[in-house]
Order: sequence, then C-alpha cells, then structure tokens
Amino acid sequence: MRYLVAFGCSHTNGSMLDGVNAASEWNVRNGFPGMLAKKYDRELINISMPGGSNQYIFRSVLKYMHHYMDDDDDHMFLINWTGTTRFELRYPNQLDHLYFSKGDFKDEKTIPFSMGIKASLFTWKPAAELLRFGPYLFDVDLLSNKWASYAYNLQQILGLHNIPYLMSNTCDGMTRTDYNSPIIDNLCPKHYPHADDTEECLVTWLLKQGIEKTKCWHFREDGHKLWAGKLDGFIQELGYDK
Amino acid sequence: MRLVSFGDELTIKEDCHVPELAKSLNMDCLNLGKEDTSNEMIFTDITKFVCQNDMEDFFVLIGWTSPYRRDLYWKDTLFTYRPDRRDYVDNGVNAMHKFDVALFDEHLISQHWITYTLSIQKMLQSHNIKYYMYNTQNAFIYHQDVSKKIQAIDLTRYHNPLNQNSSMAYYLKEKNLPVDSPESAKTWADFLMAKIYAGDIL
Repeated sequence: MRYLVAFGCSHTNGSMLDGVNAASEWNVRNGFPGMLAKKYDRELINISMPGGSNQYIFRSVLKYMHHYMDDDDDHMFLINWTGTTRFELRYPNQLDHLYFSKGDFKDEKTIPFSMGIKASLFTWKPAAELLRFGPYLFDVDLLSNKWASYAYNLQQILGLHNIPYLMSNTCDGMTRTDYNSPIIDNLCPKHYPHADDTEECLVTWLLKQGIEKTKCWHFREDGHKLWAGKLDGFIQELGYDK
Repeated sequence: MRLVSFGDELTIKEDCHVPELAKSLNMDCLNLGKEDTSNEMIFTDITKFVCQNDMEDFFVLIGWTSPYRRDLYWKDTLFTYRPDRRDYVDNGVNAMHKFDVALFDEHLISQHWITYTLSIQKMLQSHNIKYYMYNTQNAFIYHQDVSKKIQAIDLTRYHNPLNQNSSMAYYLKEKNLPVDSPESAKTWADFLMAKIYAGDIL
C-alpha cells in the first residue's frame, strides 16, 4: 500500500474546511493533506489533532513509526509543525475524561494544552486551572529550542529509515535563539523550507495571498487548495513526484 | 578520542564516575552535565552539541535523569520544576503543585522520556557516533503505549532502562555506597566500562 501520513494541528486536521465544522470526518480527509494524497495516489493517514503541539507531533511521528508502520508499505510523511506556545498533557487513565477529535490512531486521553485556549474546552479542573500559569509554562525561546531539536532529530531518523518527508510550518516560524541557531542551521532546507520564517507559514502566507480566514483563524477549501499547491512545489523539488 | 558526558547533578562532580571512566578509557573528558536539568533538556543539549561539533572524535556518555522534572524559564532563570521541591523563590511556581497530577501524568511522561531516548539513539546512529546510556536514578514506567518503542531501543547501548535497580543511584545503594564517594565513582565507572566493552561499542 502507498500512504501519505500527515502529522499536525487543526490546520492539518482540516478544521473549518467546510466553513461549518471545527472537526468532521470530511474535513479530516479532504484538507491539504487529502488533496496531496489524492494527487500522489496515496491513502491518507491523518494523525493530526486540533490544538496539537510540536511535542505531540514529534511523539506521534515516532509512535507511528514504531507502533503502526509496516515497513513493507510505501510511506511519505507530511509533518506540519504548529504554534510554539503549546505542549501536551493527558487525562489520567483512572478518570473518564476524554478529548474527542477526528483522525487516525487517536489517544483520546491526550490534552492539547496551548496558550490562549478556552478553559471551557477541558472537562477536568486541574487542566483548566493550570491555564492561569501560562506565563510560567509557555516560554517562547525555551519551546523554540525544543522544537528545533524535534525537527533535527526527526530529519536524521527519517533519513536513516529512507522515509520520504516534507516539513512545513502552519502557525509560526521557529524563533531563533542563541541556543537553537546551530540546530536550525543544520536542518535540511529542502525537506524543511523556511523553518524560521513566519511569513512563509500557512496562516500568514494564505492571508498574504488574499485568502479569507474564518473567525477562528482557519481556512476553507480555497486556502487548503492553495497551500497544497505550495507544498506540492516542494515535493516536486525533492523529486518525490517521480 | 574524547568522552563527552550529558546528565544531571549525579554526573558533574570533579571526582564522580565520569572523569573516572574517561581515565579508564584513556580519553580526555568533557563534562556537559548540569546541576539542574531534565530529560528533555539533556535531549536538546545533545542535539545542539552534535550540530556544533565534528563528532568523529567523541564518545558520548548519557545519564538520563528523573522524568519528574519540567523545564521552566522564569525571570531570566532556567530551572526545573519538580513535584518534590517546595522551595521555589517565586510563590507562583510553588502554587503549581496543586496541578502536579496534570503536569506529571505517568503515562505521558514515560512516553516522552522513551521518545527522547529512542530519538537520540537513532540520531546518533545516523551520524555513526559511539555512545552509551544509563539511568542515574529512575527507570522507565512500562505500559502498553511504550511497549513497541522499548522494543526498538538498542539495549547493547543502554543499560537496562526498565529496571529501577539498574539505575546508578539504586545500584550503588544496593552496595551500601553513597552516590558521591570516590569508591562509588570507581564502582560505577568500572561497571559502565564492562558494559561498554561487552557491547563492543568502542
């Protein structure tokens, strides 16, 4: 089988693709990852999650590789990094709380925890109240250093396993710091173009192209189509279209 | 060849096992362990070091620390937040203890730790860098969601991460040795050297 495996946040999950639903099966299957899967005649596996963090994306890639991937199949990975100020928490196993979202291989105990998220989205008081401690928990430089390390490690691992892949940013460019500059400088720009350029991330770039956003900062089919085209250009530069 | 070491407060003293091991291996020693660090910080420190250096001449020694540590950067200070510390200068940090159940979910922190170790193993392998890993004080927390990742870990280069008694602190405690004595340094260095030779790592 030939698969396109997409990792990311709500943008990769197709939130508001139909202009109505933050999460629906149609949105998950038909956003820019679905458009690229169709073009390259691959079945889509969409492991994205609304509110998903870079920490979640990093963990999900390695989890997919070791828990679900059959080496006999042909995989292409599309890793769409998200906003900096996010990380993941988890509802305790002994509690009934779940965070529902659509997509493949979901751990519905995972809590996407991000700066600015509505506390009402969490059904568990400790997670909701912890949002008040955002200034302590969401240091942009520290989280950017980690993000750069996630990206570099995954590049080496995917290279080691000869898995074709493309990385892109959806919400932010990676913030450069004294600490992470040597790591960013060692990222392969062909596999991860514009890693530290916010102007080139999905949200900023689509707005610059005149695409209208929804009230919750997502995009409909026209935006996804344009972004799929941009990523397709990078895929062709990598020679994955052959 | 040079030994470069990453780890926590148990790996940084001048007379600890790290320089002792370097001496036994006839290597120069570069100790980049930190007094206050987390496994995620060890992961990023190794990544940064690999990006900055020609690694052909280095043997990397990694002592993973407790998973119950979270990096915080607050008021120009980088430190770890831990459930067992109550003496943070800022009361806002101390107030977070009410939510430790959310910040240190065992199921999730074990997944993160194993993800870092597996990732570092693969990354070092991709560069043909020689290395050895051990735990300084804790063991992996085993559950179904980490089983496959644990199977993927190269155990010839990581001393028994699933067994608490295999961590440095417990191993020395079993032998009635305080972790910071010269005898402990020699005992653990000899132990690691035997593992490194048995695994044909160098």
